[in-house]
Amino acid sequence: MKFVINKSDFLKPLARVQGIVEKRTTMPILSNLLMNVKDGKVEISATDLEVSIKDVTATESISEEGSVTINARKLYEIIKAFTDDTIKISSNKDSKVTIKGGKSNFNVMGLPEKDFPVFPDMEGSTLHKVRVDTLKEMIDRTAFAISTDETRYNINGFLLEKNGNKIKLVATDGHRLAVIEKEDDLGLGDSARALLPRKGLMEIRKLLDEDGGTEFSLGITDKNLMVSTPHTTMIVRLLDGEFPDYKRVIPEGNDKMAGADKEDLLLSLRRVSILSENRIKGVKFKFSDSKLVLSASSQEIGDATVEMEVNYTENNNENLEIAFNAIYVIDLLDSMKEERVTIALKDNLSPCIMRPEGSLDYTYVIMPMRL
Amino acid sequence: MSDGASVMHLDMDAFFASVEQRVNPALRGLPIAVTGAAKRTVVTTSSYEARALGVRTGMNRFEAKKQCPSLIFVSGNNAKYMDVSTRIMEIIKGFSPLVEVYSIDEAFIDISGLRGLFGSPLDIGRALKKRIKEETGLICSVGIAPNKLMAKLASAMDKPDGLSILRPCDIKAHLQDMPVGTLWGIGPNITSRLGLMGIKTCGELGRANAGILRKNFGIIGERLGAMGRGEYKDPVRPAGFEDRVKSIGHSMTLPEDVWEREKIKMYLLKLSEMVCARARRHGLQGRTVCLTLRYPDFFTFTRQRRLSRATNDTHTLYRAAKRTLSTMRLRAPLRLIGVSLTGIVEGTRQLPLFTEDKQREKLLAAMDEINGRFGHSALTWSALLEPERTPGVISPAWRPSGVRKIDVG
Repeated sequence: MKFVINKSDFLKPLARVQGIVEKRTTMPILSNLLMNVKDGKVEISATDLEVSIKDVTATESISEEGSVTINARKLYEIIKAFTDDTIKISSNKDSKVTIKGGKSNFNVMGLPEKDFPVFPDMEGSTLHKVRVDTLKEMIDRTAFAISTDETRYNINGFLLEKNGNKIKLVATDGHRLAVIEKEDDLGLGDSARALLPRKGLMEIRKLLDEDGGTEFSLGITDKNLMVSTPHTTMIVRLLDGEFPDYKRVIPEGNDKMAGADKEDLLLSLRRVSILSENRIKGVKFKFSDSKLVLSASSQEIGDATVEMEVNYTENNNENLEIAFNAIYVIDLLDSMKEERVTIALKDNLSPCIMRPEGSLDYTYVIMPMRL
Repeated sequence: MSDGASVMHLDMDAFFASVEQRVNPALRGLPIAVTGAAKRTVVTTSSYEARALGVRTGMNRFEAKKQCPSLIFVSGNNAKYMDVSTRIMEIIKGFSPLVEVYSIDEAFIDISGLRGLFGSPLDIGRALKKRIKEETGLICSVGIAPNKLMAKLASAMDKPDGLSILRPCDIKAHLQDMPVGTLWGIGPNITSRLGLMGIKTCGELGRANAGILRKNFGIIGERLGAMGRGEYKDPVRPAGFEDRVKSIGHSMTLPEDVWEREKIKMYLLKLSEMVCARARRHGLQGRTVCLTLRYPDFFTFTRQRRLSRATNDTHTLYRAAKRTLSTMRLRAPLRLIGVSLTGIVEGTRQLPLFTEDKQREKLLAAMDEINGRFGHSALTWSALLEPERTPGVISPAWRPSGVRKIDVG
């Protein structure tokens, strides 16, 4: 294998795979990436066995086709450190890789391709076009609700449902739930359901951000989900497990409605929760005629109240007092670009719905705390 | 307070063995040793007759028998000891309301306000010993000093049936050549670290440079220096005034050493249930799971796992403990297993979203209520039904009430 490549062209895909290769692994080969050189291009693959990525970059010239695996981190550091634009890379039959740029010369021990995990195949899936902005927004509006409790593996991932031209993403940690459903006019075709690991979807999010295109292809089999852009293909292994029946916990008939300014609520919550007890930021919300009073107290320190304006309407002119973990509310407000938030309540022991005012495709459910 | 004798430490003499000799007159005057479970061989307490012949706590059956061929083994009965202990503590509380029950057979008493009622500290000590002897037939040793540390030292000075007082003016001379390890709270680990610094006696510890102690031991360094001078600030803490609990845990010495993973897991479940039931009873949750394991050669080690949020759910704790176990390769069977929750916080009151979680909470609450009424483990997980019930040994952390009250079978 022997080829010449432009430094900045090569650096981009190398940077992209760094998040996927395992830093600490029991299988040394997983710290490596695979370089496959043919047809004027170099193909780079990396995997942690859950997320696999393949990236194709044009070379300047190839004098010998072939393949080798090399430590992904070291290769990235070496290429980044070069000052010359033109880099020559070659390998011999003992998998020793030589990297030359200007007057610098590096020899790095690699491993042969045959030891590298096979890139997952996506046979049996049809690819559908999806807008980049659609999926990015969906991830941003749900990712914060995902569970990080590793003992609850069935909610350690996102649920993705695809039906006709609709696509839905759901995340929960058992105390709150975020659901977003989007119609994509590019047409998604058949229906599918997949449980996606957090790391995989966050890598997809990064890829969509960096790639700069407006659309990508999405495919789902019963084992994997694939996302591909013109240069890059990413395949994520689906999680095994039964996602809880999320539809049952979305309340209906929450008829006490409040509308508030997002920024005002966000700042007020941050301020009042300074005096919440320990790490769980319990804050009391007291809704009364056009007024919301937030309060928090800590036995050891003291208490605080913040009053703000809201539009609050209820049936029998009764006030409602309910407590939430402030972090759950702040997470939503932080993710919103809209100016106003709507809060739909029933009573102080039932789940509450929050969403950007006027939004029809997004639902965020929070379970309250006992007062 | 005038003579500085304000704290009394009371320590029952050979408590478990004495109780056994009390209830069974045939054992009186004979060398006896109390062991944990019937199959276990380690001596937890021995009578003074046995001690005189060289039997020590921690010896196994064979070692003890070799020292003293006529030794009689008695299998411990925790319910009996708890009952006697509670009676003794009641007697003490008849003298002062400020009683810190330190373990099943030890208590600290704040006597600073009792002079007018009961006379001098020595009078109080004598009266207390007499009452306990009359009502339970048991003897104890009492130490009187300006603080808990010195009182604890004084009670051990004249065992058994002792009554000693350490006055402020005597403390310096008393500590001068005393090895640091004799002090309450200075264990083998700190002793050897101090030894490396050339500090062997309390006198040397008291004179050691505070800065150097702080550098070597962190914040406890200064406290160590003060301890070397016989100074100790921690007051007598009656029930309800304890420091916030930092951990809730249970450990058990298994009836016999266990290799099989399945059996180990069963004990993990049992311990998890005990820990979580106690945490739930007091509305507490813990964030970190700590697994303690001991091999037959007494090599003991711990592994910790931090959870993403605090819990007191039996199965969450069990799953975390099981996962921790699954990452380990055991080199020998296990003699002891312990599970504890640390990073304790008050329960959050956060309601769950999903029906399954709500049902779980209700199930646990119902179990706790039933067990509260009919005795612990009246209702338990079916996976736990197989093993024989084991009496085990009461932990030194046992208390008659509060979070530290541990139910023992």
